[in-house]
Amino acid sequence: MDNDLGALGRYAGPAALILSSLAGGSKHGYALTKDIEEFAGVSLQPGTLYGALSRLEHHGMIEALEADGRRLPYRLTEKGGAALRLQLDAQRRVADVGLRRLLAGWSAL
Amino acid sequence: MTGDFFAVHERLGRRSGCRLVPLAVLFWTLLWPVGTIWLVVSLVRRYRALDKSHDAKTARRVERFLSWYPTSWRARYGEEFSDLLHQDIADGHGGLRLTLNVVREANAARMAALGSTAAAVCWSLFWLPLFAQGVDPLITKLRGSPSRSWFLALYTPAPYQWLVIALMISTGLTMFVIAMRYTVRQASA
Repeated sequence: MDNDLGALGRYAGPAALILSSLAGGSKHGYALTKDIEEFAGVSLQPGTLYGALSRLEHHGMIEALEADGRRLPYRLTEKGGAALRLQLDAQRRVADVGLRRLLAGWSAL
Repeated sequence: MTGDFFAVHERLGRRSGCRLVPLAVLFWTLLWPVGTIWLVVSLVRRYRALDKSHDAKTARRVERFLSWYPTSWRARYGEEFSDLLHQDIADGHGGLRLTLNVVREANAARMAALGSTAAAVCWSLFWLPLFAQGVDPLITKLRGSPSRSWFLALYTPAPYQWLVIALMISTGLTMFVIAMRYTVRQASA
């Protein structure tokens, strides 16, 4: 599917974090790592971050804005927003089912 | 031939339009002990001339990291990526984990850049090992025909003929799968 983060292979996880961060406004690389660290507790390595950024840009899910000195801020595109929504919906379904079964299991014990 | 080993070969490389230093190191090391001494003296001089301050070391490290990426990637992301690397190292995250991460990702970027070339080579040549040197000699051998034509397998000693045919067919199939995978991935991207 065109809007599926699964097409990014092993970058799907970092891509979901990056898109979630950009959903809150445009950011450059360093600001992205700090924001992701804050809201997800995940420290993205620079190589992984730019590996995912280059693929997201290639797939048209993010776009670069005008440079701010040496830094280049990125923003979410419409396609990126749709891909993030799909990914988060799928994660929510998994989380809902998992939690429901976990709760049922605990109460049965 | 006077001067620094690297400067001389880089100058020669610029003239010929390719990077000669790795080839030159191999050539001088293998073929001429004088070249080895010249290389060692140049390395010692270079090391002594290096700026050993923390900032200079970091700048060299970041430059080395960037050099592992393909040129097109560096042209697009190099400046901002080096900025992030400087920040990360300044924040105290410049250990082995960073090096391994950059090695892995630079390798992935190189592989992605090489993908289209590899696919083109595989599409244009897969038929050669698969059919011309694999299936054709297989049929010839099964028929018991005395003709060996240009089939490499049939010129090898009898016990190895089946092995060579199998290797040719598997090489051709592997090339076909590589080309097909790349094409399908590009189509679905």
